[in-house]
Amino acid sequence: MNILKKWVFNIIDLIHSAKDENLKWQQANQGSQTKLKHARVLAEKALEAELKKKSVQLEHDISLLKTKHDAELSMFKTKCKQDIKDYKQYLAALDQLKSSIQASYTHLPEAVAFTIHHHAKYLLNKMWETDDFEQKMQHEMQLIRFMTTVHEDARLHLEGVTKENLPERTLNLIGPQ
Amino acid sequence: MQAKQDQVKRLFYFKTKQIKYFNELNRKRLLKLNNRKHIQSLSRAIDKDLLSIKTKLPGTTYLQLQQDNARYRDRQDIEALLKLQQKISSLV
Repeated sequence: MNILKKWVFNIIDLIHSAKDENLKWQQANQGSQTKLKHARVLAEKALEAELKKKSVQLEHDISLLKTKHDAELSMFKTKCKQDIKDYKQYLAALDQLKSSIQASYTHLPEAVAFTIHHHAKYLLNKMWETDDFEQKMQHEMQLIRFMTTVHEDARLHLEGVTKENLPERTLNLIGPQ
Repeated sequence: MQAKQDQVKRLFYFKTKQIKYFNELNRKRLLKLNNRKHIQSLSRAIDKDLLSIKTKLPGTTYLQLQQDNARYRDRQDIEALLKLQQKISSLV
């Protein structure tokens, strides 16, 4: 019985001493623990601030991107509108070209005038539809050369320089399409 | 946030495509109108040529050629109209 009592007391002593030790350790490290807690709170706050900053920055970047896109789209729309206007003017110029050749060659069959006009339109569309700049320039030159020839044929015939019934130089430029 | 940025970029890409598409549609519409105008004019000239030789043609041939002209015009078939014009020219 005494042995059991002694054993129990020993355990109680052990628990007490462990508690004391723990208390002493807590007292001794209270400062460090407070500092640690404080540092952790500061680190959390810093992280939060950093994340908020990044988020604001991204919002700002997105807003800048949207503004840039809006400006680019607006410019692109204007360019497209101008393109359509130019195309309309080209078509009108080609109509004028047909009228001009018909006015000079009064007996020119409609089918020939149509073919000349249609070929000019074919060249215009070839120029319009290519994305390659160099090719576009080549097609443009081809179209300008063709239009110049038509006008030249019309002028020469009107001035009586040529007596041919058809604008031969123009027709020579029309190959198989 | 990154996803939002990607979405903005995608939207820009599609809006650009959309503008391009409608622009091309407008151009094609102008071209179609112009083609129609000149095809009408060619078809009228064919009708006139045909009328000038009406008396020299059998009634059925005249009618057939007239119908061909109308059909090719409605179909906006340039090649067929030009061939028809040549055919009419060679008839006399």
